[in-house]
Amino acid sequence: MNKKGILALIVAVFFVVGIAEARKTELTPADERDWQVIAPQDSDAPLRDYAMLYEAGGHDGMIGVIGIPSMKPYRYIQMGVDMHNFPFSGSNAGNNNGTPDGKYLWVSDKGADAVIELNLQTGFAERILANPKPFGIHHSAAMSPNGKYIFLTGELSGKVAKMRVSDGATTVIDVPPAPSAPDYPDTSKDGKYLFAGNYYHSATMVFSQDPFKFIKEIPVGKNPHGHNVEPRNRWVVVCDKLSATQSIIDVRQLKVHKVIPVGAGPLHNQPDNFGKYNYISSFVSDSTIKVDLGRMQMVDEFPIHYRVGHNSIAPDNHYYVSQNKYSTGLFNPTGIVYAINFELQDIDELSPTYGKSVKIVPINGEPHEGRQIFSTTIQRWNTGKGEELFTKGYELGDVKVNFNDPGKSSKLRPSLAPIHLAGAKRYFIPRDDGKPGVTKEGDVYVVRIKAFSYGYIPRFIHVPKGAKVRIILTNIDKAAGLTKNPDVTMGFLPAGYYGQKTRLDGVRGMSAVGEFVADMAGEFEFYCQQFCGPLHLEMRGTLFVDPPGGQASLSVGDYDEMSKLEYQVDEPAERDFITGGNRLLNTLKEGNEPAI
Amino acid sequence: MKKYLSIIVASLFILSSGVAFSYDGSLADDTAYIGKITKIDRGARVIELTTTFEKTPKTWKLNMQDECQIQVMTTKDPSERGAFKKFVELKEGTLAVVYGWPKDGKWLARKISILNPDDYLVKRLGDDARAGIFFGHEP
Repeated sequence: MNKKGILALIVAVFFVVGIAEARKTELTPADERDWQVIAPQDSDAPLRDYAMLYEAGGHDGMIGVIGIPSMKPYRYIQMGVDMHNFPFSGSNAGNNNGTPDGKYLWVSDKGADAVIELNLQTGFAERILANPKPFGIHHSAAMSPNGKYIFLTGELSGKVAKMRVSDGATTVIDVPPAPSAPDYPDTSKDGKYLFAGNYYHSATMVFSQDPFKFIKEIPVGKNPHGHNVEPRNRWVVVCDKLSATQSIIDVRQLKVHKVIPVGAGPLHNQPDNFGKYNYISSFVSDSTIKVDLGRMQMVDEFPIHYRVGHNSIAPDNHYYVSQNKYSTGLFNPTGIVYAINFELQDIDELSPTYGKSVKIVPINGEPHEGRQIFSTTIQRWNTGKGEELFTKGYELGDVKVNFNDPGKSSKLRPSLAPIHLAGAKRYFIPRDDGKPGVTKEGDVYVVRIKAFSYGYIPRFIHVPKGAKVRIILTNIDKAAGLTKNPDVTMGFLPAGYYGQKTRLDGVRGMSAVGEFVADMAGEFEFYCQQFCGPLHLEMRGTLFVDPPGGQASLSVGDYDEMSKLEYQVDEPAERDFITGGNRLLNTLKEGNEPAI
Repeated sequence: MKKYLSIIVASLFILSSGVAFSYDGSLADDTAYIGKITKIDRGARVIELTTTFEKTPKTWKLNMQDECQIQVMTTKDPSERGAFKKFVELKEGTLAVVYGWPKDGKWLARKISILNPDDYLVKRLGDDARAGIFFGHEP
């Protein structure tokens, strides 16, 4: 090669290198926030989200798994009938996301009146914890600091329970005075207290965790809902739903420290990991409210699209998800039940998109509790390491985690498919204008129920045990209370045994019908499982299946039989994975069951 | 009469001071502390943490539970988000928030979350402190 050729080669090399350098993309802070700009990966996947949002899907009976920040749905895991609240196993240390060990989450099934255990590493339902009957669970979001107990609120019976998760043994307390509606609970981080709202009393109930007993009620704003203890354990933040305020309870003094005006219809809290800010979902004002827990005042408000219920916060405090109840006008219709939506909001004060909604996606079901976990907590078992799940478990840094739990086989990881309305006879008919009440047509007890925001006519229904029952649910709502959203659907779901068979969706213009045989006696509270407005929770009635010669009540019914929950699974072999129930009612040795 | 009155006034003063002081920065029964890890005893699995963003920084001795996780909460390196670390990797001078609870005279740590000093929430606490609003203090 002559000199000219060498020179040309050098020039060409420099030219190519120059172009390559010029095309190199440097990650800017804005890029780092973009889910499409991927950091060095340990896999060939085109995208890896740094966090996962687990959400209890409500009436879709599933746990949804959503990537953060991509907001892409990864999975929907079949769990039961009407999923509401859950803690991750591990510890409640930290904010609402806790300190997950990656093993389980325990979600309350308000429809089946049970708690379902999801194994986060296999991604399947693994066990059913039967509540003592009658109970009427709503939430089970509260866990003791040592992770061995969960606290359940029986909204529909006025009871509260402490449950040992290893075997489902419980202690149950009746909350006086009746009527009582134990609602959203949270535990103090030091193992001392359980706090739970009681919307009938407009109060926060306080219990001691160990021994489990009722201590007192603290009057708060009207109709309280979300209750959460912030990470330092100084304050319980309470959403006073109908007062448009946040009551701050002093954990040490067990009294209200301050009442902060916030947006209208505050429902749920998400404190950050420091307890510096608390983010509140505000249903009526359609916004996320930011409260500074140091200054004890509201400091910001972000609009959302719209009618928010629950919420969740990323494990690094950078993103907040507003879990909205309605999507009117946002997405294509999908039939009688519309998709709701999740909205990702940027809460990093240094970000150019701070306070903005950066993504909005349609979501299945009507999600309730949402909690987020770093994706590093869930292992990769599909790369030939599956056997280690049974033999060695996994490591989170130095911490070794295995599945050798008391009372469970370490060589068996069940994959349950809890029955979700299997065998139910449900259909729609043209709008029925018959008079509400119970009539007998042939050998069938026909129950006509009119549903509206926020109630049922009639509220009390009696049928004899053994009766063939046909429920005809008609939505007579015109304005959906405050909301005026055309996609509001009215629900009907008797909690517990009949909840497996009769979950009806009452759309306008048609009537929903459900048929079943009332073969178990008892008192069954029915409720609206389709979010229909701020007082949706109070939309309740009672179905009495009366035993021969008597009247059903919370003490008269076939409760022992129902508590076995054998109807919850298809195969007799799967019954081995059901535990708890009345057999283990009040078998906890209080005073000897430390919560820390 | 004056004697009783002065006793009552003194009692009220002590009581009100007690309430005021009870919120002066971090407390022994808090369940989360934010600050720098100033000392590590690897054999005894005990760390010392000196709080920041308080008017008067305090030092707490924290005993690590067997289940105590060490995890990166915020970082400049996106690939490190949520990474679990081993105890030997934990260094003195690290900014962290530690969660746990007091029991039997010891404070038991359940989780050590490593923080990015440039993260917005850390900067916010710093800005507040410089403006005279200290973390853990009542306004």
